[in-house]
Amino acid sequence: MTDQTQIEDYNYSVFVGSEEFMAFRTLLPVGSSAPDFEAKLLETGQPVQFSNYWKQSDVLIEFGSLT
Amino acid sequence: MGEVPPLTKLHEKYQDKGFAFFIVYVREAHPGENFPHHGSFEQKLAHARQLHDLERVKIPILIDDLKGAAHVAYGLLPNMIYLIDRDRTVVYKSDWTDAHELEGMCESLVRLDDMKARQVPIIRKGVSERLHWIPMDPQHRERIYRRSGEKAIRDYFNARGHLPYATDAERDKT
Repeated sequence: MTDQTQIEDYNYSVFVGSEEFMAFRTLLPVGSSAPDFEAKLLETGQPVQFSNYWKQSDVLIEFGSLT
Repeated sequence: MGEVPPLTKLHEKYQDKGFAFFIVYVREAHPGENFPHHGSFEQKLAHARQLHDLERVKIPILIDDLKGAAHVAYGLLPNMIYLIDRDRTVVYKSDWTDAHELEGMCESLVRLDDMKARQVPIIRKGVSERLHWIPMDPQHRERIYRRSGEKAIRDYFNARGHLPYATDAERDKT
C-alpha cells in the first residue's frame, strides 16, 4: 500500500462506525509495555519522543479530535 | 474529543505529584464540512490548534503523524485513555474518559509510591476488569456534531440508523 493510500484509508472522509472494540481489549492489555512514538508538541511545534516522558513521570494520555 | 469530559481538574490535581498528562490528536472521528478529514499535517495541526482554542485546553497536545502511527499502536478507538507508569507498563486503559475512575487509578499509583517508601511488601500485581456505562448529553452532543458540519450528522445517521443525539427510545426503534 502506498503512503498516500495509507493516509487516505486512515483519515476516512465518511464515518461508518466500524470501531474494533474487541481488538482494543486484546491489543495492549494492562501489564504490557507501552509503545513509543514520535509526535509534534502543539505548544512548540517541535517533534518529541513520547518515551522521554515516562522516564520521569507516570503518563496519562487521552486520544481524541475536535469532532 | 468534543464529546469527552475534560480532564482539566485531574490534571490540576496530579501534575505536581509526578504525573504528565497529554492529549494525543488523531484523525477526525466525525469529519464534516467545517472540520474535514485531514489531507495534510498542516491541516491536522490547524485542527489541533482549534481544539486548544475552542475547548480552552490546558493539557499539552501531542499531534500524531498523518498516518496515525500512535493511534494504530494503541488500538485505533477515537477516545482511548491509557495510564503508563515510569517502567513503561500500561497500568490502566479505557475506551472512554471516566474522570472518577482515573482519579482512583492516579491515587493507587501515589499509594504504591508510599508503600514502596515505607517498604511494605507487595506480594504481586493483580488485574481487574470492568464494564462502564457512558451517559450522553444530547444538547452537548448535537453542538459538537453541528460544529463539525451537517455531513457529520448525515454520515452518523447512515452508519447507525439514528441521529447522534437521539434519545434511547428513538435508538431502540432502529
